Amino acid sequence: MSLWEALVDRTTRMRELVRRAQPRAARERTRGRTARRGRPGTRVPRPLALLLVAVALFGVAWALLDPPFQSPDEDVHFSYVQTLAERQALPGSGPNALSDAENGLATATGAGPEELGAAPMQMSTTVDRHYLAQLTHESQSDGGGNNNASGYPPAYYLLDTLGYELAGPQASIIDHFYAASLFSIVFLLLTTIGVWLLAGELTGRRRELQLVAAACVGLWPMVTFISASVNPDALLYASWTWVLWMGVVILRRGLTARRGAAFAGLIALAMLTKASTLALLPAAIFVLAVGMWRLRRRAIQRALIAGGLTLAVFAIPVATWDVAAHLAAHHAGYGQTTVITGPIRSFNIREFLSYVWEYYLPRLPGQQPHYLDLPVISSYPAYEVWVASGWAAFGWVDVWFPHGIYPLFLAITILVGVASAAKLARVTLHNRRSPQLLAQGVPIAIFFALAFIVLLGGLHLSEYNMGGPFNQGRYLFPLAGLAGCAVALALTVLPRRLLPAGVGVVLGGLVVFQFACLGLEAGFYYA
Amino acid sequence: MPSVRIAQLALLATLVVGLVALALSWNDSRHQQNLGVSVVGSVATLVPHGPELCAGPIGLGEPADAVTFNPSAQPPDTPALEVVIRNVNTGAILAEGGVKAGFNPAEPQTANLTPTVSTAHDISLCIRDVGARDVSIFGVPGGGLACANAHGGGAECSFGHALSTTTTLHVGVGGRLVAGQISAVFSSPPISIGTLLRNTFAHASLFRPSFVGSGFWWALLVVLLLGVPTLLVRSIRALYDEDTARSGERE
Repeated sequence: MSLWEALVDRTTRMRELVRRAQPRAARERTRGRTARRGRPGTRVPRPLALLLVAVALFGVAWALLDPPFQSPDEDVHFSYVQTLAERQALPGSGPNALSDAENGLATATGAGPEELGAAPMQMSTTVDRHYLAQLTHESQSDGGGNNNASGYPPAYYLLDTLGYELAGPQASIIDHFYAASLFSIVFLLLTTIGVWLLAGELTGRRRELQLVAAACVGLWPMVTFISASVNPDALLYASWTWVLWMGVVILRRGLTARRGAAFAGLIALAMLTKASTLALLPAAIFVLAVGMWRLRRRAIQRALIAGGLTLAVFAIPVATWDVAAHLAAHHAGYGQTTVITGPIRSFNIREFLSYVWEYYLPRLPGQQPHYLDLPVISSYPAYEVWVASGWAAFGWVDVWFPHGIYPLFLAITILVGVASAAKLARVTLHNRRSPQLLAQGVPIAIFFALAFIVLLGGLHLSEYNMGGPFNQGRYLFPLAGLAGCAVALALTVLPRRLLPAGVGVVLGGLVVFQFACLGLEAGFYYA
Repeated sequence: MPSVRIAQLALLATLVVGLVALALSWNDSRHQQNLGVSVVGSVATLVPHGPELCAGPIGLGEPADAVTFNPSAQPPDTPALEVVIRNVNTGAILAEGGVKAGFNPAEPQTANLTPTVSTAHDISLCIRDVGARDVSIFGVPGGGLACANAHGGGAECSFGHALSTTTTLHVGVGGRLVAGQISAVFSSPPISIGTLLRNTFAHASLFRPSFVGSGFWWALLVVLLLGVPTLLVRSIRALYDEDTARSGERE
């Protein structure tokens, strides 16, 4: 029995008692409903389906409420999509970094590059009127030049082109932009489904915990905000979440050719979305190694086939893109990695460790101060970046709640962290002699730890290498699924009779938080 | 009480308490419209009783009864300033106000406007030094002069050139164009939360696909307020139904 299943077992026994206490007629009714809806495994579970509708509704609100290009780097991400759609070519060879139409819209709405850091714009009917009067004269196909995103891998942009095209060939840039934003909600839904699956795999399909975990990610305003804008992170969150799920499936149920291929395909998709997926590779290699190791005695041939297929499914698209990028656009396929590997700054291990120390701990006497970040909420970087901007920092990281709110966010974060860690420790101790703990619990923990540590390390290395503020809380969102599961796990510290109330409070709290953030956004730009 | 009821009630109670708390926390009853221009440096220096500085056209979203801007002069004898709101097309005076001499140059200054400026016309904000010393008006200086002179051309020029502004703002002193944009915030009389929502939805309908108008935002608000809680309440119901059904199947 795994450490997670220890939790499940107790609940199953509890459910059985509840079920037996239920009148026979009620049991017949529910059985009849299940028969009408189809067998489990062949349909979307109803709680998830309803949650997805709620997530989609908030996604639509965020996609349409956010002004054009008012999420991080949205101008260049949209330019990539526009270039693929309008020029049928990768960006890099076009005449301008952004098309005339995009420049015009950005300038009219106060989102041009010169406006960054300026006071928030106000939508003006005068500008709208002037803008619409000359909208048709601006070309949407004269972009395609180099910009901050033109070296990115293409997966998200290619898929989002479908949304762009749905607006129609004669559509204005406004229609194209919002069609692309709305289409991106598909990835938010995939992320939510991924968390549901991940939590299901970890908790033995304990539905209330699955619902809480999935809702915590799908209804998390920062995740909704990024996923409902034109930004490859939307697909990055989805693909990483699904990789985590498939990794757990392999570690729990074993490696097969199909699972290996699915796992590798998902990692390849993540790689083709953003080069930061390199941080996921050590964890993925660990899963593959464990899977093959377990197969070695029973079927060495099967192990080799599964391993070989996994490698091929991963390597072929990833390498193909790298070659294509060199040939078609004359740049490396994963150029973002230069943030870590590039010779921006000479690496000094002592200095790097000192920087990391100051990020999390008070500076020691005699320690050199490092330029860590732009303090908005706090000059304590770990709080400012990972907590505050992970909870709520919209726009171009310039839309914040009043500062007094953030200590509450910090307190909730600590509470969830402590509660989930305590629960994990208790279950681990309780099952310390269980062979399942070593066979499943420990490998899963190592898998998650590798993914987290390498991602976090890579982000710190990038920031150190750049020598200035770089990190944002949302950079950890590829692991949002783990955070969702942590909240669900934290809930299980409640006494059994209070768990349903805990589920309700979390769901209600998420909806209130969504409204608060939408209100913040609306007040900032439109009030 | 069954688990499903407890969970549903907890959800609804949290929602009601949270939304009421959000509504009560709203205390910013004065609408503010800024020009989207940072306070970076001096855009123009006005001499005593010299020509006035005018910035426009400005399209107000709401009627304004005050304007805050950033003058700076040598303390302590900072000069009095006359503020005039003009119809940008005819030059007619729509409202007047002023800043008294001796203002603190380290802080933005507010001029109350009489009468309240309506949204009927595009306006220009004009400031005149009526004291005895020079005064600088702050905003984003430099750049864009060529574009401002061009009167059209690229998209950037159509929108007050590529500076940090959202209005078609041209700044002039005594009729001569100045390179830069001034920072200013127009304040409106206090409004109700209903008016605030109406204005917000009207502004959020600009630069949007044609199906997004105020009606769309009202409908979406209703759907989010009523539909999402309903979906989640039903989701909880389905959760426990499914659990019961699974137990039944195992039997």
